[in-house]
Amino acid sequence: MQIGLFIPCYIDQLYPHVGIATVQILEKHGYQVDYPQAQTCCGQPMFNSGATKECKSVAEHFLKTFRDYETVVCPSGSCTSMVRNHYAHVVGGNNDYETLKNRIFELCEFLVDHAKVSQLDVSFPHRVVVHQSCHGLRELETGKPSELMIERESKLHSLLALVDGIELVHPKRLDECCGFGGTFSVLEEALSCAMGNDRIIDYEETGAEYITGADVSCLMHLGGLLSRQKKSIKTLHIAEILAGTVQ
Amino acid sequence: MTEAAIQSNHPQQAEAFLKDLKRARWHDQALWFMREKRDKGVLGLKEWEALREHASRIKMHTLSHLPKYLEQFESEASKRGIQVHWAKDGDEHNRIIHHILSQHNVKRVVKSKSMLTEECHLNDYLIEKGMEVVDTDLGERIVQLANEPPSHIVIPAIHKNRQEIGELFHQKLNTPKGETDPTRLTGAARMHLREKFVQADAGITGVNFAIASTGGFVVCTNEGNADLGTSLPPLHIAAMGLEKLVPTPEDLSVFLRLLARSATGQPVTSYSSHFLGPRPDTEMHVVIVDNGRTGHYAQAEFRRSLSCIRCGACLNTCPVYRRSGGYSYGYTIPGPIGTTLAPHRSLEKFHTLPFASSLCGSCSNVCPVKINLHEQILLWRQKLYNAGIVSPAKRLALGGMSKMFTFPGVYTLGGNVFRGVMSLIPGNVIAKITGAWGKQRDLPPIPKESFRQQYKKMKGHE
Amino acid sequence: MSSRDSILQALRSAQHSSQAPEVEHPGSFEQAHLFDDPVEQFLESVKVVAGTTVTCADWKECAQHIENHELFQEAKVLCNLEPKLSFSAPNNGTDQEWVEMHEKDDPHSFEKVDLCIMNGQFGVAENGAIWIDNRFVAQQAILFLTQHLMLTVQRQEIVQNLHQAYSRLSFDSIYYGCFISGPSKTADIEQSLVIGAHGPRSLTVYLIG
Repeated sequence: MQIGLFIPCYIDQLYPHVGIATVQILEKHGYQVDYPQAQTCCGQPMFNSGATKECKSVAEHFLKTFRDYETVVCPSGSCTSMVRNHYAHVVGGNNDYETLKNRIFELCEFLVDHAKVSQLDVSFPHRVVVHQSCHGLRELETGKPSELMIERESKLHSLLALVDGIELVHPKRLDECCGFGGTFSVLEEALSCAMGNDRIIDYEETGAEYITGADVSCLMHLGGLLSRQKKSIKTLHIAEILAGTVQ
Repeated sequence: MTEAAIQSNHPQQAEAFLKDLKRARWHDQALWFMREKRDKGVLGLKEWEALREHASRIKMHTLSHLPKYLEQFESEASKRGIQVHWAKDGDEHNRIIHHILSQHNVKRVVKSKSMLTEECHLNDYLIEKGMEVVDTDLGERIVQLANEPPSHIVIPAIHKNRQEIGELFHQKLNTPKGETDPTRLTGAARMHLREKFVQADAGITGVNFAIASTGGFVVCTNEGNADLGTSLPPLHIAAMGLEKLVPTPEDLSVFLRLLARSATGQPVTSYSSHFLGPRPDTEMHVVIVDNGRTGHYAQAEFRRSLSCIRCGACLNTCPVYRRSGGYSYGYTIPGPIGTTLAPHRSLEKFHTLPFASSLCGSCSNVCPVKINLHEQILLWRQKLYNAGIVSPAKRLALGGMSKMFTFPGVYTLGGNVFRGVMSLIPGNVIAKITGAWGKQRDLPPIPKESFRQQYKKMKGHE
Repeated sequence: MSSRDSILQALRSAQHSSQAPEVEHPGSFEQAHLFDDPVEQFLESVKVVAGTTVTCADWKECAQHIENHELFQEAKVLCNLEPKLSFSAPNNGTDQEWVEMHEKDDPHSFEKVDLCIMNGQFGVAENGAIWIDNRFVAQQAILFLTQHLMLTVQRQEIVQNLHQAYSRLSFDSIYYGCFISGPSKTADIEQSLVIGAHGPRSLTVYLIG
């Protein structure tokens, strides 16, 4: 099966290694990956600012770029949810959207639900804590949000459990927002950083060496705080661990 | 302090709140504790999610037939001897209540918690007319003595620690200096308020639920203050937002199962008091209040927020509310529900509120009546943008962004230039350029090549 | 136009113009989980809400237990609203004052009551709540003025949950009713739970039968 690879703009520009790791893990599990060069952004920054009209042309461009793929995979829960869920308010009724919304998957979702990965052959002998990004968790339902009284497995945890030598630890607050929130990170700078710092303290108290997650945006925010404070705990996108591109 | 006196610049207020980081952390943890209690309280209930769905549908049903149910309520209540009044706005609400009180020569009023009377600033109105109005919920009494508005809809004095309350009680209620024990402070308030209850000429309450089929209404408290305040004096006035209806007592069972569990994790409040008419030789009045609700009702996409049962769960779970406090919203009702309600009053005045959210969605998940809170917050951002209440600079940037992302050539070029320039500039200078981002955060190391460049090379070698 | 009419008209025209769908009522809630032993659950729930429970075989045993209770012995002013309970009053020759209740009483006259004893109509297993209404207490003020409250409930009068509770309630001929779940409490000071906010400082529930 050929997969259309959607690499969000900030991964393309700032975290290319996350994109590379995504390609590697998909290829390793027998998928052909194609990266359409015409892709740009899903339009989330505009949509979340209320600029629905400005978002529309971006969304239409996105649909045009990806409409011919049977499956689209993206290493970001937030961007995937933008396309799958929020495009309904931007380009709802558009035929390409109505098809694509059922064909676009966040990476972990794809690996668990479609690739049905049960073996990874990678090792990461470290203590790791998972940062559950809100949009993946609550909108894509990649795990059980702590508020809901339902049974649902965390796809991130299931995948990480397949990694040799990894020790998964759990924070006190299982899924509190890190405070990135797109433009929120700059419009409410003080709050955003306070939220991030509280996450960091919670994660540090687990004794973890690494914070991992399925959204680079959250990790960029947490990583930015960690770097400024010269803290030792590090951030890694889950694709890097699953692909074995980091040791 | 009135609502108007509070600035509604959320980022500024939040930053000020966070200046005292230790206190902000304490506030965050106190509210998170409420969230944990809620989780424990609902954990044992296997049907929880089904119950939420059911409640949501009852409310949506009721709202879509609201005029009919209001008329039914009025007619049934009247049959029971309850006098029903209608108020278009806060001012009329205040005037009606004052009129009833003065007809009875009332000097002293005791009041149990009602966010609606806060919204209408009833206390100020009656006090100005020479009446004594005493809030009897302990938390409300604390903020009343401190001359502050509530900072939370269920625990109004949550922003104050025991030392501050101890000092306040020392000054106002003559408790010993340095007394900070919650049991002894509560004991002092009990004695002080017992006197007020006994002396009161009238009791005012809110309405948690009004039942259309019986014409009665229900008030929920843990302290028993609504009952004490209404069972002694010969006059009971209840203030009710017009959205407070449920069709039948059977429906009420669904909401009473949800309310306290969501609010504090208790299976039900200590007292669920059903008022179905005046006691012999007394009077009971209900004032049904619009105050902007019909305008809100007309906007179908926002209608679900009229289902709110004021449990406070969305405040407790909100990472923003917990770290910015109730006053940062500048509106009677703070937190996610306040953020969705306040712009109905004035989009201009509350324009920072829809952006005071990371859109994490936790509020929508805890809401016992499944209000799509974070989606409504997003909707307000669209309204703000369309109304032109977004700064021109930001508007331009978003327009530019749109063009860049619509044309891949522009995007690729932009990205390359960005990375090239960034890699040449020292970190401290970048911090300045990146402004709000860089105040406390570094940017990641700037890679030499974008993903698309690396990918091209990778595929070229194959 | 009166405020009433203008409000109702505004709502009607909003419902019409907004084209919001008319939502059907979902009917009764049928998914409630039932307890295997509702009586046991009821007793457990009363404890959860900070009440105390005593189980008695019959009214006589209940009266005896109450008479030996320190709250009873220390009480100076008492009121018993349950005719099935008879006490050898005045107790032990002490100067206890017993008050009676009549419909025309001034509710303020119960201000000094230390202990009030009455029968609740039924109890709710899921939350420990007990239903009281004005047919059995003409002046409900006493329930909140009393320093301590003792409620009796008969074993066969325990329902599973609030859905069952409301299906047996009728509101036709009452002006006041209340679900009482535990004593009066507050957590408004730093969320530390304090029992005895304005109302009773304790609630003792006697399960009879």
